[in-house]
Amino acid sequence: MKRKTLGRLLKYLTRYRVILTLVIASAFLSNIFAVMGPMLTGKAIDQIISVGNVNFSKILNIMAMLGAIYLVSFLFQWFLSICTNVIANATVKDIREEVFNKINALPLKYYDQNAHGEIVNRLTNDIDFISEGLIQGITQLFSGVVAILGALFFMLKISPIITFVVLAITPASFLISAFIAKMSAKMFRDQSRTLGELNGYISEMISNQKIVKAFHYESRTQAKLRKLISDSMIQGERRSFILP
Amino acid sequence: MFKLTHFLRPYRKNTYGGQFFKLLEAILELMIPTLMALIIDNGVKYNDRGYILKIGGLMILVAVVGVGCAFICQYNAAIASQGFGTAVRNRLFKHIGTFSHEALDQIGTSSLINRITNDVNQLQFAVAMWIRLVVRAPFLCIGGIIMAMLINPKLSLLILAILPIFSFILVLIMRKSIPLYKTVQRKLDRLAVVVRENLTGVRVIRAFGNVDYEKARFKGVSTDHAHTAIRVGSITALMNPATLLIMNMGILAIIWFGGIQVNGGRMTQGQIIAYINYVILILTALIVVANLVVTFTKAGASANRVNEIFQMEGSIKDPEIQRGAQAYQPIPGAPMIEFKGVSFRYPDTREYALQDLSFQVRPGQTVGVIGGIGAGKSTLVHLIPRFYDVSQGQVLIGGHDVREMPQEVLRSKVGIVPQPAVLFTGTVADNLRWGKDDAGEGELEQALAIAQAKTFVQALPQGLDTIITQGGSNLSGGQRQRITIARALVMVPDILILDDSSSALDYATDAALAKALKESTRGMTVVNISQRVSSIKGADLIIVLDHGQVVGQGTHQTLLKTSPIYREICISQLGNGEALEDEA
Repeated sequence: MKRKTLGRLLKYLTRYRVILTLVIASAFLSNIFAVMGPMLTGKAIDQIISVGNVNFSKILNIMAMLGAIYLVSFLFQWFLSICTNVIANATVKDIREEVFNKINALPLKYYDQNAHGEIVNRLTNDIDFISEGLIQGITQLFSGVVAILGALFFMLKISPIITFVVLAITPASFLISAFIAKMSAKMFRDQSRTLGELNGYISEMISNQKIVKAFHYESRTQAKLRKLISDSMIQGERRSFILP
Repeated sequence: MFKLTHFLRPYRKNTYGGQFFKLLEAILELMIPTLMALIIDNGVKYNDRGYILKIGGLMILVAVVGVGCAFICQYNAAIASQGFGTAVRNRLFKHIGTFSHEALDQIGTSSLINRITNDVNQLQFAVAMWIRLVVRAPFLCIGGIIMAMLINPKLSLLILAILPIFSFILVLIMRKSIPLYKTVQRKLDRLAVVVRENLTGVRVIRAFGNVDYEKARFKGVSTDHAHTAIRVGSITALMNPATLLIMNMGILAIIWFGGIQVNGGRMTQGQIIAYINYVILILTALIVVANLVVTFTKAGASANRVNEIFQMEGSIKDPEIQRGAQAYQPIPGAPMIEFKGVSFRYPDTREYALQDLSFQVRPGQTVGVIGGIGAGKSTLVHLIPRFYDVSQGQVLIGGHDVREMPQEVLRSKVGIVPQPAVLFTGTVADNLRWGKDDAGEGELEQALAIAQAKTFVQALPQGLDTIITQGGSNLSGGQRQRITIARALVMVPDILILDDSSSALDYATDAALAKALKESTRGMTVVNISQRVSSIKGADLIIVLDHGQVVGQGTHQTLLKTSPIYREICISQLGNGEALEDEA
């Protein structure tokens, strides 16, 4: 994504500053609590050593704490999820209406030069993708940052050596995921271009099916379609091979 | 949904192969917690480094082989799902090609396009998920339970307690959200309808200053859509936190009761950890199953929409007994076109669009059809290439009933210049060759010359190779019309139908076109629909239509005397002087 596009998207989000603050706060809290869970679980398991050597009173203490933490974390997560969903859908609604108004202000030439099916697609499906992206982006971005920092903190507390081993491995997995992200972004672009071409062709031929029939052109359009589809298929295969 | 599965048959190997490797991966995944328990109980406890390295190495091996299996499955799933999607798309497109105009009118083009694009994509995705997860998720679930029971049967009672609660929540959320998903989709469709109406009707909307009204209308549907989407989102928002909570509470319970087991010597510490991991495995698999149900619900709806198309059949069918093309040559002496008592009614309408039409056109003659809007002019010519079947009576071409001719033969005889003048993306030459695939440049130029299009096509930047953009927007209306005329002429048809094809031409060009047509299409029977008297005045036969009925038939001269309606049209268009001068 270009920086400019991202900036524009963020500008839409700033309209929902209040909810966004709540989202960040609850992402922070729910994840702090969530990363505390495994550490405490570990402590509880440490109390179970062998036959006749189980410290039940301590386990009970930790369990009470864990129960409270899980419950609080649950509430914040739920709240976070609802807020994100509201923001994403409201933002998408704003964008949609703005695009519609913009189209209405454009000269007639625009209407003549662009396939109507494609414009409709942009206003419906494409904008829906933004909403999906926003929901995942917001929750994963904020939660991810908190979770990583929190996890690091507790890991350091448990064992600095193991943490350093993990940190040493991290860049490698970073590189791999960056590579996959880059490859898939390019393929996604390629694929959506071919798919656009394919859909454009299908729309054109089906909208004018009566003329196609008049010239008995059906078999020739079928052959052309088969070619377009096989192009898009090759890209689709490549893409789903890389993406897990 | 299952009706479509035969499209997957050619990819059986990929389907089962993919599932097999995914199963292998699941088996390997099930081994990991047990291996970990071994490390903790035998390695860590006794500080046995050799043992830790041995089992640790085994774990890495298992993980690597697992990733390899996952990749193989992924690859096979991709091939099978893409292949499936392609096959469905091709068949759909082909099937739509067999639809009669009636079927096309009924289902609507935008709906057809949506089904062949979005719905097929949805199905394709479902196939990929089917291969990747349908075997794996339940297997992990059941395998996890078995492994957990092997470790400690008593503790497994806990799992039996957690599972129903967990499943209950999943089912509850899904039962509430799935119908809402459908509502969201419907509202999105509604949104698309409003946009489409605005795109096609933009000229009218602007002319009447309705832009603000349309904006408000769009805002209404988009708000409606957003509200429903937020409602679904709020319900599904509960899914992850709630399932996580139950899982965590379950883990707490396992620690407590596991502690008791260890205390009594029936379990080890490492086994508790392995046990917890199995529970996590089982519950995550259940969440995957829940998501699968959502995917397949959506796919099911798509499959229904796709099947609806497959079940629809064009009402226009080729005759059962077919002879060679030679057999359909015009019978000597028979009229080229003959309508015998033809009545026609569009489906689902009561009124006849055409009523009791009878006329004959001899080979090489030119017929003019004139009448007001809605008089049935286009309907009349659509019966000639059998776009629709007559409700009563008979349409004969060269003495053969059109219903007894194969459509391909019939349509190769009839060249139609439809209305509106639509051109396709591609070059001018590509468009002209719709009429005849292997037409040489000379043939194309000849057709252009007759259609009065040669001069302006030559003046285009790349001549015949100029690219025509979206629907021909880089040409004027008149230019588009002339190219569509040339397109029909390239096929050198027996019958040429012009459906108000000169409406955008100035009178001089129109006259030149009429003259050229008459001179260079000797032997070609021409049916010319027009609202302009001047375009059809010279025809051998003029048919005057009014509300689906013939109200006058004959030449210009006779009609001026016999048909008051025709006379009225002439006077209104040509003025009193010219109309009467012809009469004289």
